[in-house]
Amino acid sequence: MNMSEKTAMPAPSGVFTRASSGLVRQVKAQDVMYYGWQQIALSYLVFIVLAWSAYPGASMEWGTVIATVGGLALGTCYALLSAVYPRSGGEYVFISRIIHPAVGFTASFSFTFWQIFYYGINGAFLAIYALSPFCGVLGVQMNSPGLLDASSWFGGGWGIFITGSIMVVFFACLQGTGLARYFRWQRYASYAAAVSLVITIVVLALAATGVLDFKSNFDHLAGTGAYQEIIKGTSVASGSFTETVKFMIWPAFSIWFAVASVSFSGEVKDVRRGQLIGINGAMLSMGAAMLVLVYLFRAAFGSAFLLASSTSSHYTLAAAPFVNVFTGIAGNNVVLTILTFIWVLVIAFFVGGTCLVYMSRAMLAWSIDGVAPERVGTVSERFHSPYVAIIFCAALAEIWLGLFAFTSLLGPISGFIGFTLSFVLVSLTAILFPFVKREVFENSPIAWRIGRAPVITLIGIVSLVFVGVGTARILVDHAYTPNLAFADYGALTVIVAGVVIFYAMRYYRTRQGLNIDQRYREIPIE
Amino acid sequence: MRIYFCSDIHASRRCWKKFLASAKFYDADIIVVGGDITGKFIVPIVRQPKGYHTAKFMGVERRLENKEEMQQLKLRIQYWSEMTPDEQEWYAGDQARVDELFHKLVLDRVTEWLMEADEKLRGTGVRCFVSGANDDFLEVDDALKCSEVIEDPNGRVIDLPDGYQILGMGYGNPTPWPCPRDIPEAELAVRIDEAAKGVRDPGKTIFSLHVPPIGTGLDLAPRLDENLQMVVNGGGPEMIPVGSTATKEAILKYRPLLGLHGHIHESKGVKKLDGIPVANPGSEYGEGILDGLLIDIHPKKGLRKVNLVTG
Repeated sequence: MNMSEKTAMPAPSGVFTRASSGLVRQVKAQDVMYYGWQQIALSYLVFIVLAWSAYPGASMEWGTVIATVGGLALGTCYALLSAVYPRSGGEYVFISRIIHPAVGFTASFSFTFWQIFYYGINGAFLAIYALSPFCGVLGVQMNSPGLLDASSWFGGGWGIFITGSIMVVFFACLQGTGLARYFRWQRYASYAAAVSLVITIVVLALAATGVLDFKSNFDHLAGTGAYQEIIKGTSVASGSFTETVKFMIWPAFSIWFAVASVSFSGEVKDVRRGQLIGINGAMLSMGAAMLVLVYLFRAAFGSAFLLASSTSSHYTLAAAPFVNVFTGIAGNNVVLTILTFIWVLVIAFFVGGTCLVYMSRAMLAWSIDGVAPERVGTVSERFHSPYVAIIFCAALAEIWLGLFAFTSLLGPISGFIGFTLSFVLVSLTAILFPFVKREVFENSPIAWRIGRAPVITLIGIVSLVFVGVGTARILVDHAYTPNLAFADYGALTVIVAGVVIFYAMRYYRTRQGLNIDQRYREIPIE
Repeated sequence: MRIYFCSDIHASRRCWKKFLASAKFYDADIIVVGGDITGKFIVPIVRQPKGYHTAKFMGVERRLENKEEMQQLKLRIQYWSEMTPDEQEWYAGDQARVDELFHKLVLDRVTEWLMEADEKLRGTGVRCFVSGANDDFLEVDDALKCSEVIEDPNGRVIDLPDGYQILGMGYGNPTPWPCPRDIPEAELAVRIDEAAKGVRDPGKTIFSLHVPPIGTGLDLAPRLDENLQMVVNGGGPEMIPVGSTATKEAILKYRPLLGLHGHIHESKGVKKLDGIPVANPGSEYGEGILDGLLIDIHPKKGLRKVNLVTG
């Protein structure tokens, strides 16, 4: 870059600037959106559709719409608060400053703990919801006992544990040797996933319009009349708003994770074109993609078939009753099956890596503030990666993976209640912010009002309604988790542990001669 | 001896006032700003024909109805200039006029701050070190000399109690911007060596070198493309080390008691470079938050603690 080029400095509109460091253009909204897509992990759609049968009368489409609307309110709270406190570290930064450091740490600790949980559990999902059905449908289509055996193995305890362990170790090694390489791999994988998703939509659209005959193809593989046998006696319940709201937690706990881009808020300061558009754009676009897919699944395979296939004793096909298995069968072509499975395989694989990115950054932020041992924040001089935090997270993830693979203690949503704590606290922080930090609010880039009411307060209230409903549902929803008590008590234990760790570290630092409260308290101006 | 160190406050009035209050708040004997005290933005406060004023700050167009609202805003922004819409237009078309306005406002602000420091710290026994760094005009150094209480360690060594010393260096390695004190690494190394001639015992000297040593984790900043656009991948902005090789070599060569740095706002931390503690308090001046370091030094046992604080 030569000197003449340097004079073309970016500057916020409406102000004058001079030659000085740090005047860079903002992170683009589309980059924030791209990150959000990774966090949303569309491959969760496989078990979102599986869960549908537990909510008779629920509309998957309206459930997705409700989740997306709630997500937009929640995402706006995250985006606006991170615009006021544009520092990397996520909700920890603004909750600790607006409400209380212990609350901020506990929310962050809980979110991080359950991210570690899903780092391991996503390894299990890779085996159960991606590799097992992939081998199963190929085995059926190619009449290959070897592939069917592989499918069974991936769905069993050791298959889950070994597959998950490979994923956990792979990402620990990849990220431990530098995030840049990891993100390059992730980006290439995302391109492949996008192409695969488009092919899937085309196949589903052809099946939905009768060009491809799913029913005949299924009968060809499962036996004549198999389709009718499965749906016999199955009635699609008339639409129920209550059940739709109950079902909403499934798409919600995929779509809402786009808020994780606040972890790099320090670089996204333009609220109008940064986090606000990025987070909400990711939620809207992925919500729309989910909407299209669930509609096409129903249109292509039939609602009754989707509802009955997972529970019917007449379903005897050796491949699991998952929507991507059905998509492969609709295509009636091994190559098409492989192509339509790529996005599920890729996203299911990389979502574990995304979890690891978030938690290693959070641990780094805690160690900087002194609420975690300095050792946790140790960064490799060679690779610039927080390798101690990565190794620690991988070890914990292995434990969760083992428990998931070999016991019935855990279910897919066991960690959701832990995430809701952060969502609830961020919504509350948004509501209270203009009142507890009045001066900061008035001088912030989000000092907007409708009448006398601060906009962020109003949005926080809307968000709290959606998040509150989601939290309440998770507390009582036995539909898909075999041992809900573990989830509830687990979440509570983590919250208590967060508070205890904060105050224990505070005591320890005081013994060292450091008043940890001073790390959060503003110096009074005289 | 307790030292409070911060850096990169960039004309934030809130941060400056907090800095002056930091000695009392943290019970520090010495307070230090490690450079980059001046700002980068001027917000035009435009007098509208109907009597009120408007200003665009942090992307929000603000209407200021009275003096109180204007005072509140002025506390948050780096520099402002009241002007008519025609004057705003006149400045906006010419960077040379803007630069001239910057010089005036920067020096006025430094002078105002020095008076404030003299008033607050005179007779308290607290020693106050302030120096310019790569973003500060060279004229800032002359202004600093006018203060009764402020000492400027830039390019020299100053004695501290109990035989300790502090060496300052505000110059930095080249950045993608034409900053007033950006110099090549080789020249920076020469300047540090020149300053280090005044060091009696490196093991009892703090090196306050504005740019962090390269590759220590205190110097990670977003990678920029040729348009000064951050390079972002699936996990956020791509961070790369942008510290100074001259700084690193100086620390390894002299092996000081402690390396204190700033410059990279987003890379706060306390690390070790070949066993030597090095630290960067980071900066959140934009939000009026003062990030700092508390350093405890025992008269005989040397460095006891280096802790990050946020005030």
